Amino acid sequence: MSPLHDYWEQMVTVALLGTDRREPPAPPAGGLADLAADQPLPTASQRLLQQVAATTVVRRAGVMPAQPVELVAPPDPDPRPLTPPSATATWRLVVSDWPVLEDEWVLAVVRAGRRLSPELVPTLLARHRSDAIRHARVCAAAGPLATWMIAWSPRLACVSKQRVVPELVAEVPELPITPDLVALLPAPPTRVAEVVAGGLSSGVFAVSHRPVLVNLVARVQPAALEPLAAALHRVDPSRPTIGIALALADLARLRHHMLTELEPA
Amino acid sequence: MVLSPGQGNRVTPAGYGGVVDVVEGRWQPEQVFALAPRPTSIAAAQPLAVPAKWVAAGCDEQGVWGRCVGGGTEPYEVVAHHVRMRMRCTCPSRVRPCKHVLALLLLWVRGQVAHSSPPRYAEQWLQGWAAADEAAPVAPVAEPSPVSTPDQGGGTASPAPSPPAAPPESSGRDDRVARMMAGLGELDRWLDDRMRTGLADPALAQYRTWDQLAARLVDAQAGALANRVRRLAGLVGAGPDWHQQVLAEMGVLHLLADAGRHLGSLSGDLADSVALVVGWQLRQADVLAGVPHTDHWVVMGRSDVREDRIEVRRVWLRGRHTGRWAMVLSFAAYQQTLDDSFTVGTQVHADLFRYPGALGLRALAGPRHAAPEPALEVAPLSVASAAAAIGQAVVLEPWIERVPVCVLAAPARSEGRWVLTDDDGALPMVAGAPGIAALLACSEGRPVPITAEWTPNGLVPLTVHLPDRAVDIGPVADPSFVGATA
Repeated sequence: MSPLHDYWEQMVTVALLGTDRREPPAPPAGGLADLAADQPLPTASQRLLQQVAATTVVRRAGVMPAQPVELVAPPDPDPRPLTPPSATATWRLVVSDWPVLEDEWVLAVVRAGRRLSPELVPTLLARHRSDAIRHARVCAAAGPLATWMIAWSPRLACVSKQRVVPELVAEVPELPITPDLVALLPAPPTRVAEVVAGGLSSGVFAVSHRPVLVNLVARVQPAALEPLAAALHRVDPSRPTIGIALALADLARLRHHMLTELEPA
Repeated sequence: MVLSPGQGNRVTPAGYGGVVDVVEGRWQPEQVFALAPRPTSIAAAQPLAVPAKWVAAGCDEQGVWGRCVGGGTEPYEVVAHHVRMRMRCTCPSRVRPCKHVLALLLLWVRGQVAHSSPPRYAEQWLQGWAAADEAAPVAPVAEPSPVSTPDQGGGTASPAPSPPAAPPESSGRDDRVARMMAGLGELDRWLDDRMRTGLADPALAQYRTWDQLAARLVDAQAGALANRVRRLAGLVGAGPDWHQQVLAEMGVLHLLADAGRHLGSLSGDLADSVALVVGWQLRQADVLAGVPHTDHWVVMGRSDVREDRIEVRRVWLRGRHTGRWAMVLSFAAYQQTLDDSFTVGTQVHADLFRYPGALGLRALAGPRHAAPEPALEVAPLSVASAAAAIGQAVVLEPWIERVPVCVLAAPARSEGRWVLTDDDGALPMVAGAPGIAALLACSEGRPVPITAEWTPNGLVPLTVHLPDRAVDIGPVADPSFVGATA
């Protein structure tokens, strides 16, 4: 260790005990000793404070790199193309505005034969570490980088004891949808738009239907999304359900956008 | 036909083969399931969805209520406004809606809750929601304060009240100088006492000890120093080597207290730096009246840090032509929004107005001359050159808390902590810095250009500059506190 480091350690010891109990050490020869000689101070505490300030500045200004460190071995190569940068922004939007779409977003990445942008990998692993199915889905989307990240950062590993069933990983989870609305899932796009927008216009659907309608839009066949968004925008603005209509239109548009964006390259 | 929520009718939507059961506005079970914040919530609610678990459960056209007999001594009071979708439960769970609400709604959709008049606790709450929804006030969003107490050293600067339009009277200025000098003297005496009694003094572990000192510095109009003292209080006991960090910061405070009382004997730039760090306020108008620094400013990095009750955002810019760094600060209090006009990875042709000072990092953004455009070339330094640049900055402003650097380096492990390394050397990163995992993922362990903030505790990675994009990995403000986009 350098004389400066030793001097600092001695000052820390004195500062812990207090100068009422112990005298501060004499500075090592050089600039610090010159400072003490040029500006003699009457009390031990003042001398310690002066030397602590000067030594701190000298240590910070003299920051030196340590010896170079061996690089870590990179993860195994993953030939799949990355998701486009815009998809990262879409994921952030999904998580903040419509988290009901996140499972499908991750699955769409896998189904498109792409891999997650690397900056999202630790975020997604940490976010789903308590859900074994979702964590496994993220690992599939991230590829070897996920395994590599978990090896370097074990806090990203899954903590759930849930058994991972491959079928569950490969499919979007079911969402609660009322039996009458379930019938709309395979219905023609115009039919879906007609029923949902019509129901909101006529008052058949009220505020209490919002969660099931959200689930419906999150699971309806993708071809229905654009006509549905357009129909929802035509709901009479004077209706009390206009807020739900516009929210569902936003959800439909975002889901259509994310699926289009992630289509196979 | 228009059906209002809660009306007792059965309707068949036009053009739709199914039937929606809206008898008495009652939901279907799936509507309750869809409310569950997580799948386990319904599983937890099911055992409670039996009449035996409820006392005085009832419902009407607006709400459903009941007291759930749980494990506590007092039953939980549960109310749900099933028309307006509002729920309340007196249980301590932070999950909303909690299992008690879900259980009550399940009981209700199964027709196991009888019609009755609401008890007092439910009636008041249901009526309160109706009134609140009608009022729906919109809280005005205050703008960040136009004047701040700048910290030239890249450290923290806190917003301050707006200044008077006219310069203060000279007598007022003299009073202020006297107060500040007295405050700086008091700070130095306080530090001296700590040296005498020692850092092991139990009083140092009490926040009140530091807060009283900070309050006196605020009274002395040395607000920037007060903030520094409060941050120092947070270091006590925070890690195994906290006494080293606290001692070093006390040394810096002594330096500032001493320099602040001898401004007249310092050179011009140094005196300006000290004055600003100690707490002298400079009006934005005066800064904006200076000579602009026009350049293509590359947005190199961003970091958000909570300081007391204010979120501070630093945006680090570097001139494409001059290579000089600049820092633009913005502030946001609770539920205000941080400035997001600078996007990491772009460059902006604009004027900047620097605050005076030896290093002159802090700046105000002036007019822009063109729309932002992508900037992918960042000219990184080697680790050794970055260390030299940090040292030069500390020499110019020894109290500096953050220095920006851009290095070509790889993340690697050394002696239990992450470092940035190249062929010539390595610099440590702050343990637990939030961007380390993203840096590792983006670099895959290979050397990449990285913008980081040097702090006395190590480097904080802010940006990974990849060939096709810049990835912002700097610390992000808590979105539940302020509106912030990275």
